[in-house]
Amino acid sequence: MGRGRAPDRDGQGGHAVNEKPTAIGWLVFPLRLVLGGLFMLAGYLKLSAVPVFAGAILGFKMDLPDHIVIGSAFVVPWVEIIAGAMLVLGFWTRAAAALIGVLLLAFIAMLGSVIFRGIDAHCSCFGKFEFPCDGPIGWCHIIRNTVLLGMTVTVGAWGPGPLAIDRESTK
Amino acid sequence: MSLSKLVQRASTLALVGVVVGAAHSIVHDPIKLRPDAPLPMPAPAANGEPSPQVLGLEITLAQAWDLFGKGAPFVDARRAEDYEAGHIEGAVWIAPESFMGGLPEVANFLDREAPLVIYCTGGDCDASHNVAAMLNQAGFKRCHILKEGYPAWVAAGHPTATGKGGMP
Repeated sequence: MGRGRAPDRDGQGGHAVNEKPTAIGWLVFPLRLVLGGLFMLAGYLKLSAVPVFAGAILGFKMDLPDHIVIGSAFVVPWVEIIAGAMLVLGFWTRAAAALIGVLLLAFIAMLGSVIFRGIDAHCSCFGKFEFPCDGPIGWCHIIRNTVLLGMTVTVGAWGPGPLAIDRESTK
Repeated sequence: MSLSKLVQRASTLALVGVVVGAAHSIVHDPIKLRPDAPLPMPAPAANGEPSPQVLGLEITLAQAWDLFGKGAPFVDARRAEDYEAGHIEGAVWIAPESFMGGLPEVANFLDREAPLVIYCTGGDCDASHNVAAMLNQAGFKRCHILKEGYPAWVAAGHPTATGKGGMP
């Protein structure tokens, strides 16, 4: 098989992962690591202060029952860590990217709702490290998440790239 | 990969996250979302003035000013930059994010039994409520929240200070 598209021999979609990595594969590789690392970091920071994240969810004023707020404060960070780790390892890469994409869409919708309702709330998305968005939730947070969503779509579309378990498992 | 297989794998990952998160919530200390009403003071004020025992969780500017005169500690729950630019004189900085990694060290210098006034920017700002809930959880029993926030304090011409004096 050449360097173009290959049949789906391994469950990984349009780009057969047991081929020699392409130039685009090497471009996607750092995206996958950065994205996975960022989500693992975001999850870890949230879990290091669950009450802070729960308070932030409450600050979104979504009228959610308390048990949902508290449950989300535990579940969301763990989903971020698990999906992020899968991306870093390159295992079930497209599924992990899809899950992170859904999370990002939900985050963007929530952030948009907070901005639309003019609520002075803080994101707590990356704990103390809200770079590059400082202060209350604003358009910067939406743009940041949109950029992350673009990275996620790229990884999801092109697959794991080199140095991935998805690739090794099919050799 | 077929769409159904993609959805199946993504759902599996999400389910693992839900199970692990649920297990974590069971072994974790209970999360307090809202601050408790402050405990009444053990003894009435000797001079006949209203003591803090009549104060609720949310207090007015006048009540906060009264507590300021009695030497109650103030806690600024706003952003670090806001604190540095201007804060209630003598206030220490404890924002919600200060609790990442445990109780902020400065809290160990505050009396858990004495009245404490927490403020942020007033209005929609709920950082003071979050900080009060977390201080409650750490054993602070008499947290009051200046509902009108720092802008009202400034507008009233009460003493303020600038700089990092009460920051870690």
